[in-house]
Amino acid sequence: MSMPLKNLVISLVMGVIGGAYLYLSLQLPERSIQNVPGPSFFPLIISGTILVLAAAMLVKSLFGLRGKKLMPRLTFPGLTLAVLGWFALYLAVLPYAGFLIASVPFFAGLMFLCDRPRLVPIVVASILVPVFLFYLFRNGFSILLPAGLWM
Amino acid sequence: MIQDAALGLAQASQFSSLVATAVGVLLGLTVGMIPGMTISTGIIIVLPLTFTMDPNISIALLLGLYVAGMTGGSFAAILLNIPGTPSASATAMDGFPLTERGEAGRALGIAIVASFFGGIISFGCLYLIAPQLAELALQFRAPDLFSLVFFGLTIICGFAAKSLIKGLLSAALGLMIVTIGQDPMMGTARFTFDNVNLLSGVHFLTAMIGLFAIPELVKSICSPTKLTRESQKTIGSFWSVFPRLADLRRVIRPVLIGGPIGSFMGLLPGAGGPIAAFISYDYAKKSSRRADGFGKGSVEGIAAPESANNAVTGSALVPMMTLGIPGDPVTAILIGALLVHGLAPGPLLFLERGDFAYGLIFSFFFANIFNLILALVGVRLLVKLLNTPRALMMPTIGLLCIIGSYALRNSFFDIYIMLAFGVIGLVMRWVDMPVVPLLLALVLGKPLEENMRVALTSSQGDYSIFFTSPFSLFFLVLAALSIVWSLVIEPWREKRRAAGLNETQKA
Repeated sequence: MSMPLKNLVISLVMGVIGGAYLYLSLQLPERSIQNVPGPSFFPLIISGTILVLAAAMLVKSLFGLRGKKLMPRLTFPGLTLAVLGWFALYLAVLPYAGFLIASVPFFAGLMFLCDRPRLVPIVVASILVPVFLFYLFRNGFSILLPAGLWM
Repeated sequence: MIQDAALGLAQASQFSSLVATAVGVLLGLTVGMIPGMTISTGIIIVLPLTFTMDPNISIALLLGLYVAGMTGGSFAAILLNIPGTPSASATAMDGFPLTERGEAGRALGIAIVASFFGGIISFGCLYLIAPQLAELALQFRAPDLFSLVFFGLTIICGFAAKSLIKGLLSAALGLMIVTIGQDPMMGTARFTFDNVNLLSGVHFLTAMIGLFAIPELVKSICSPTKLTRESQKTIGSFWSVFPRLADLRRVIRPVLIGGPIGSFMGLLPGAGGPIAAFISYDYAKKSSRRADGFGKGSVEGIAAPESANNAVTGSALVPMMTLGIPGDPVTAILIGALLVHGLAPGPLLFLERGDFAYGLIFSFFFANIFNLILALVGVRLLVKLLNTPRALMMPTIGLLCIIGSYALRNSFFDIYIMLAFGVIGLVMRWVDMPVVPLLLALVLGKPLEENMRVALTSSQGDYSIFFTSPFSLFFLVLAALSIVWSLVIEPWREKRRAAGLNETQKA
């Protein structure tokens, strides 16, 4: 993806974010003390700044895009999405299963995505490392990690 | 002051603090050495371990990691031509050619010794400047503090980003996130969408774990750095790492160039190790009688950038400790670590907890001593860690990120926020938007808003208050200059550089 196109994406996304933020800032309750900046004062400055910068970026990207092909060749980030999806699934299970039980398949999955090692190292490491960390934090540092619904 | 310094020295020399410093150094050397792992990620991983420790011990551990991480970065640069940290990029230019000539031990030894001297120069800078600056900063009022923080943000945006607009947009995004939660002056809930978890806002350490560690983790899994055993050259005998007297004589001049440059660059928020290392390399080359040897395995070419990037570490602590302004992600995390222990960095730190402030300074000194000893003695063993299977390391880092974000407030919500920031970090990298301004805006946003509103409240809405105070005016002028520099002068210099390169290629 070319830099002007990246800049175009940034300007459009930031423009939308800035607009939404401006709208939400205007909904904030105002205080009636005269000449004293209220809760919406700072957010309004920031939303204005974002919109101005996004507009500047839009102009810059449009100048950069002149005479260039607009549609980029995109590659599907399959592995990235797999890693993030695996994280999301783990976080969904964690409050119910607890750190120990949820972390074993999470660890094994990440190991598999990393290097696809053989089964025995995956099984051994994905059990030993979470157990070690759980007891290290619980007993060594007095940090109680989530134990799950049944512990 | 002397009493505080003596107390600080006593605290930093306690057995537990020294052990923590040494452990931090070992971790730092390891983390710095592994390509793809930055010092920030290393500190983020270790951070949850420090939550229940005594503040002196936890800060000693983190400082050890910070100092040694810089040196560790040069190991991979010298042995594999892959800088372990961005600051070690300049070191690779002369370090790797020496390795190819079979003198890896010599190159490593020079890097370690130069790092030590750079660190000691910046310790002097930290010890002498920090208390004086803290005393001066006590005179700052709300408008001055607002302008100072504003200046800090503009200079970070200019340095950290190739494009100032992108840097400013990133910082604005960070400031926007800071406004989530209770309004600092009136307590009004802002942008919480009736979610109780958002009332206290987004903890910047949670955001930091997501922004830094998750993208690095994903990157390491998806596009791993190829480390082959053949590329790891042997270092030689135990004694080959210890520099010879002739080499030590040759590194004096580059260290005297790199140390002060690094110390100065560290004081500027956002400038950081890589810039200091390249500037020092350039100056050392220009002032050397053996300039033609640079890039081919010059001892001076290793010493200058190594002393500079380690000199950055000490002076980067100056704005952090005295003004509460982080210059880079590492000092931002250190601020977070101090806040977790109920210690607020800023001018009052020296006034209220002088013993702790000096303890931190002396821990930095001991970290440099341990770094010299442990790196020289243990480098042959440490480089073997480059063979640690990635499949074991990356999932462990993933678990530590989750523990770190959960342990901050014992909240699952923080883990979700961490992952959300991980996705934001990945998208920002994808569109070449710098993450550092966002991160530092998360730290600086609250003081920026608070001081701005306090100043305007005291002046009854009169904006001239920011221009009538001499300190405030000074910082605003500096902020304007840094913006002009980034907008006008830097692109002009880039064009000239590019034009010069084209002419050279044509010739």
